[in-house]
Amino acid sequence: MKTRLTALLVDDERLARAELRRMLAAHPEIEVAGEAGDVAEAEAAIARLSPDVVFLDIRMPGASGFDLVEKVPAGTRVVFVTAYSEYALRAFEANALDYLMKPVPPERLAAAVRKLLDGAPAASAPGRPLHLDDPLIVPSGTHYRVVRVRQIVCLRAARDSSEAVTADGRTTLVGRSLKEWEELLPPRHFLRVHRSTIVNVEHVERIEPWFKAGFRVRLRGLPEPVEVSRRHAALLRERLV
Amino acid sequence: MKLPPRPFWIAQLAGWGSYFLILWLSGLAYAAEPSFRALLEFLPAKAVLASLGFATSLGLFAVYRHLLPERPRTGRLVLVAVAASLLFGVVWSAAASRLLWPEKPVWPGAFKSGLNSGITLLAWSALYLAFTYRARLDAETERALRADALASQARLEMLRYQVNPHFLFNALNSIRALIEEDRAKARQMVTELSEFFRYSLLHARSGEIPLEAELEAIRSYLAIQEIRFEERLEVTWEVEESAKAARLPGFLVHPLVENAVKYGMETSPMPLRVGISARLAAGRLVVEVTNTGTLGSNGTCEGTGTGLANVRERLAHHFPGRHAFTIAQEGERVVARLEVPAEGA
Repeated sequence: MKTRLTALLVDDERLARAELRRMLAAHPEIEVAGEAGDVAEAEAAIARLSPDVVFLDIRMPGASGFDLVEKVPAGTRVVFVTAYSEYALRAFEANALDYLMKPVPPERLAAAVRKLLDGAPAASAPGRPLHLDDPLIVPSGTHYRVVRVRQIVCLRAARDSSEAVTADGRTTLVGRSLKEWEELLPPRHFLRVHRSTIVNVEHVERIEPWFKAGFRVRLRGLPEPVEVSRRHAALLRERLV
Repeated sequence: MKLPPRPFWIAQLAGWGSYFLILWLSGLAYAAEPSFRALLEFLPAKAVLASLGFATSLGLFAVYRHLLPERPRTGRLVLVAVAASLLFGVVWSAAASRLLWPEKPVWPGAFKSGLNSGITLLAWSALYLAFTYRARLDAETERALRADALASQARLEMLRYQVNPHFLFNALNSIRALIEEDRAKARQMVTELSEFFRYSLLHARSGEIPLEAELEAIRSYLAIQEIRFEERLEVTWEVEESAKAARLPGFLVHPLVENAVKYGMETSPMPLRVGISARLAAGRLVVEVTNTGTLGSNGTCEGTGTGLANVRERLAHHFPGRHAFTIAQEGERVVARLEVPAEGA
């Protein structure tokens, strides 16, 4: 656990950066190492300063905050600061990243700072149901990745967490248990087919019989078929007809 | 000339077809001895009569199209219908006489039988005019309903502006920053924000508004954006005094300005230059909103769909056929141009 974190503030409005800097002055544990007015500047600043945390506006002229997220090293925490939620809010609640709404209430900022210092995953409260176009921001290898819900082909249980397989064949750890994901994902598109698997019905290529009365499904982009447990098979077939 | 629509032809065929059948079968009453052969004998003559009726009624159709305005007075309607029906009745009879009994003189017999034909055509006219006005009534009712729906949609759209969360919260955030930095500016921003919301919440609700009031609200809106974006936004105004009194529906110009800022910020080199001009030209009000930057590749700004569509529909509703609205790339600027009849100016 770190006692002092360096921060980069990214917002296209100077006033918004100044305001956040002033508010962070109340938290000596956070040292503002730099500011950036757009995504290109921010990329350079991240490379130069390797901050522990990036406070990031979403809507900026040109490239958006989401574009920058994929350039942030996975070890760096990201706190989104936005004036207006739109779809983004739901996604953050489903994510391990934190978000703040402008104008930021001081106590909300204090809570976010506490969580940054604890190193605990930020948002763990049950999120709101996700939509197909919502972005999920997940650490993937050395960087973060933005994955749209509709790109997810299936989710598999992985130790005490879950991993998502996306349409491009990549596998990403997405945190949370399968049970939690089952509640978050749009039920019209995602279906639990096995104790350890949720599939996106849109990506099912075909169902094939598997041993006695069992089934397997072939998913687009996945070389291996996915096993369907008997009690889920009827539901799946119903959905696919 | 515009051809009549499909339902007209269907009714026309069905009507004159029935006419022919009745004419043909009723011929039996005059036959010396009712028989199948007698029926066959009348056939060509009755067919010619019915066909001529069909053709004559097309002439009537053309006459009504040309001589009757959208909403004729009853007197004129009756006069035109009776005169045209009798005239075409005579034409019909004369043509029939010439074709069926070439050896007999056409006149004055055609005048006499023309009266009968004329009465038949008058019945045709009654049906035709009734259907036409009924259809027009339906179309008008539908248009009224559609206008209602549009107005509600516009109200909703306005509500969205009234509480545009992104704009409001960003403005509030800037104010909070300014309270520390520059109190005078913070106070100015509170004033501008109040003015803008006063306009959108209280004035722009319904009916037509002088352009001046809309421009004042836009001035407040842009003043707020100028404070937020600082040196990245420059606004120029060119408003003719005479144009200010022109009346138009509220929140017609503001969406154009909002788009100019939003998409200009994405595509323009900094600083973004936004220009607003209004002038009167030949009894028309011309409002232009320009911004440096580029228009989306397909000629419409991506994402401006609903805002601009709403502007277009409201223009079409308020100034049907009398307005022009274009948005185009002109050099390094995107130009949105609005042209409406100058009412009230």
